Amino acid sequence: MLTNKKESRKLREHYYKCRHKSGLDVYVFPKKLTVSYALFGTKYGSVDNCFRIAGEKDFVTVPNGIAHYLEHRMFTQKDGSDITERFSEYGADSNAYTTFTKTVYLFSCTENLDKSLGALIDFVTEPHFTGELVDKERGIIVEEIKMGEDNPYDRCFYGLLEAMYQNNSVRINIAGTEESVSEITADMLNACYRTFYAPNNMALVVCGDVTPEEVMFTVEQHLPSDFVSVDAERRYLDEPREVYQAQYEAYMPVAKPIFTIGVKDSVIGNAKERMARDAAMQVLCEMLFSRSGKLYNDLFESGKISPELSYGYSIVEQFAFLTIGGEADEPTEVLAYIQEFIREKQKNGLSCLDFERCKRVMLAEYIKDFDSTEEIANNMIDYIFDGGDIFDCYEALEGVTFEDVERLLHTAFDPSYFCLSVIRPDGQQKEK
Amino acid sequence: MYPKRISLSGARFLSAIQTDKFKTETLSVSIVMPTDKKASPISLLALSILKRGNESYKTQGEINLRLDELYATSISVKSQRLGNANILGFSAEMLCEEYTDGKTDIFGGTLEVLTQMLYHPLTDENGNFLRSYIESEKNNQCDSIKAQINNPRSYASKRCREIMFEGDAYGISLLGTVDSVSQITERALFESYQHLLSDYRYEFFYIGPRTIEEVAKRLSEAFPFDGRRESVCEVAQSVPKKKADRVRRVTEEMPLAQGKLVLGFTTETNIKSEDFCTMLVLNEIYGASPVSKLFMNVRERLSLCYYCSSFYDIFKGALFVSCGVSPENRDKAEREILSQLSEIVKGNISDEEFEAAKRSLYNNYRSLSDSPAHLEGYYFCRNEFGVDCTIEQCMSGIRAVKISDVVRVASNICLDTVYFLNGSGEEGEDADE
Repeated sequence: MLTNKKESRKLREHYYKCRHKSGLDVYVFPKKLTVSYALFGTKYGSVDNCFRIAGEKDFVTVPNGIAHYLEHRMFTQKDGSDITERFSEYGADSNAYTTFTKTVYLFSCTENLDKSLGALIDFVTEPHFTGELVDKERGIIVEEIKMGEDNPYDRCFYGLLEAMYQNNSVRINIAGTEESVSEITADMLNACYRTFYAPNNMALVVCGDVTPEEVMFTVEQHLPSDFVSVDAERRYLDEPREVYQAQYEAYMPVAKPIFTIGVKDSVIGNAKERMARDAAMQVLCEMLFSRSGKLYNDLFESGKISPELSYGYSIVEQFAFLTIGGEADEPTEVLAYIQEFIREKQKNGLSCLDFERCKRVMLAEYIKDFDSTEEIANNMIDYIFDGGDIFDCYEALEGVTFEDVERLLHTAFDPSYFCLSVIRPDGQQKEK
Repeated sequence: MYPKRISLSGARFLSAIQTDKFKTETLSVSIVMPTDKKASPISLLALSILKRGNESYKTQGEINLRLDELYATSISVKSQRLGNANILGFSAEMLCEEYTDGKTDIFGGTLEVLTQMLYHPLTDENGNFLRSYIESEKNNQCDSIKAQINNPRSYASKRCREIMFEGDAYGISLLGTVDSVSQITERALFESYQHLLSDYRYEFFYIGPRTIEEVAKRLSEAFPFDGRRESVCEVAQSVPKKKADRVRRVTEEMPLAQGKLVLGFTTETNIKSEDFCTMLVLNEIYGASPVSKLFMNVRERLSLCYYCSSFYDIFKGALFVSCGVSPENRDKAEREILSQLSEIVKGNISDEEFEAAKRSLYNNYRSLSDSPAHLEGYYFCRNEFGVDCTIEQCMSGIRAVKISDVVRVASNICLDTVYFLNGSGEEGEDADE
């Protein structure tokens, strides 16, 4: 077993990376807190809907929402019981989530870490899908989809992606639709499981008051011998650089228009370059959109936006975009204002003082994330699956130069990359 | 980890937990007042205006720039319901100085911003807040009131609480109504601010590496505690609601994909009651844990919903069950929710369920010590309710609960209000039972 220790002096933290003989990478982040947190994840999310195992003749395309459906179905054991009951027997709190690019099973606990870790490994490596059980889940998932439909912020976000992307599956709701989940069968779940739930596509992360030896002892005891690597090939459709549609609009019972502005970014193949772009974009966003900045305060003081304005940047192998979201009577005006502000900055340049301040803010925020085992473990798995590393991120942030952000400012904000999604109050529809 | 609490001056108190467990230190100031239909929304508005600008930092932008310099210190407005009391104030989160260049006094800088916000607001020639800030914050508060419908799930819970506690302070909206907020006068607002400064008890809460003595000294130096009228205001008594003789049913309409059903129950038990720990265990068995009766039956066995869970307000002693369900399944879901409560009343609780509920609570309570906000939340409210109980003592209390206790307490739980936010159907007050 190979064990590597990685340390960050700045953070006064360290972690171990252990490679199990099956090929599974296990990450142990010792942290003297009361709560331990463990994640077992697969790099398989809602966008991975066309694939084959290397050597197979054809690529298969599966219905949308299947990764999430599979996540729901994993909890039932061969004897019909729910794994949640076993976790609860050990005093742990278990859960799972599916994103565009990954599926993660997890628990938090304050005792019996080894037992719960065993349960986590057991249930994620022992699927049990039958037709009857798969059908039974449908009602629950349809209600989950409907709950999302009633959430205007979710609708606004998904609407944005639907407009921004032409082909990439990120434009489709992670849970799928009522129609798409009606096509899902036990055989399909098995096919997805076989392809993506393999050691070379997964990672186990444990953060808590624990040693790598203790964790690896449990891993050794619980990982089944038939848990072997699979060479999966995924197929994604080509995506134009520009947005597909510049606008999305829907009507819902909301008080004031809710908007999300998206800026579609280029896809970057190299993980290191991705991390550098992420860091530079984080600093640039802070410079442009933060509550200390001119743009936010102009919009806010003039009453053009509600106080809450959020912004964030996501970048993974398959897609990258920036979002700015809030509430405003006239979202189109807000978009125009932001675009004009960026044009002005492109023309007259950014301020070096702003740059230093924002970089310092981002570094401080980053350090604050290391106060919670949950935060650490979830951030770790994000970096792992994207080919990065949680500590390297600090160096990437420190390494961002003023020239980096200036360059980004000039290249990332072409008008053809912008998209506006708005959820308008029902009443406005009637008025029109 | 257990806080020490000392008196700073008159009705100003400091609680502190000294620990180097975290990379941040937190300091909050809470003003404790009764919830009042007229006064609460005005106080909240005054507080929001204080965040807009002061003599040193004229605008919110300038305040934020200063906080950025202090290594991204955050100061947020605190507005919280604690039974029938209303807690208003500010919470600050600061990076511990060992993670900085060592040249910035983050704690001192944050105290300076806080005192500027509280004691040196910008005023006009008549001694009122700036008109532009008043108008802007009135708009924001009205927007927040209207925006409550944006989250139908929490909106339904709020409506159930309001209907169930009509005429009680617990049913009052802290935000007020659009009409009442629009009509707040400049004078009333400034007077409300002056009351905030002098009429109520201040509770400071600190968690971080400093000693309580050091924090007390720094606070006393920074805050003008002297020369103020010090009249202590008691936390409004939060008496649990009595059993109703009839169930009130209200259905309201909103164009939604899914209906939101909320059931409100009286329990006659709150944090001060002898049966408090029993009620905690009961709530866990019924609907709060991931293996609760509601989850296992309404969701897993009958596939009626994605979420169905219970929430027990430990201060007011009210129990709520919330469930997102298609309108055609509404009756079925309600029947099952009530039937699972009857199971508890009949004593149909397995040893596994019972132990699982207790373990889930232990896990929750132990977890509190990993979060400054949760630690403060736990001890702050116990102090307010005069309950002297550490987290460990609370867990011992839970350990001592027996199944027979749960069954006995369950028989006091009584359905009071059924609220349904319907996706499509008839609106109005249904016939009472």
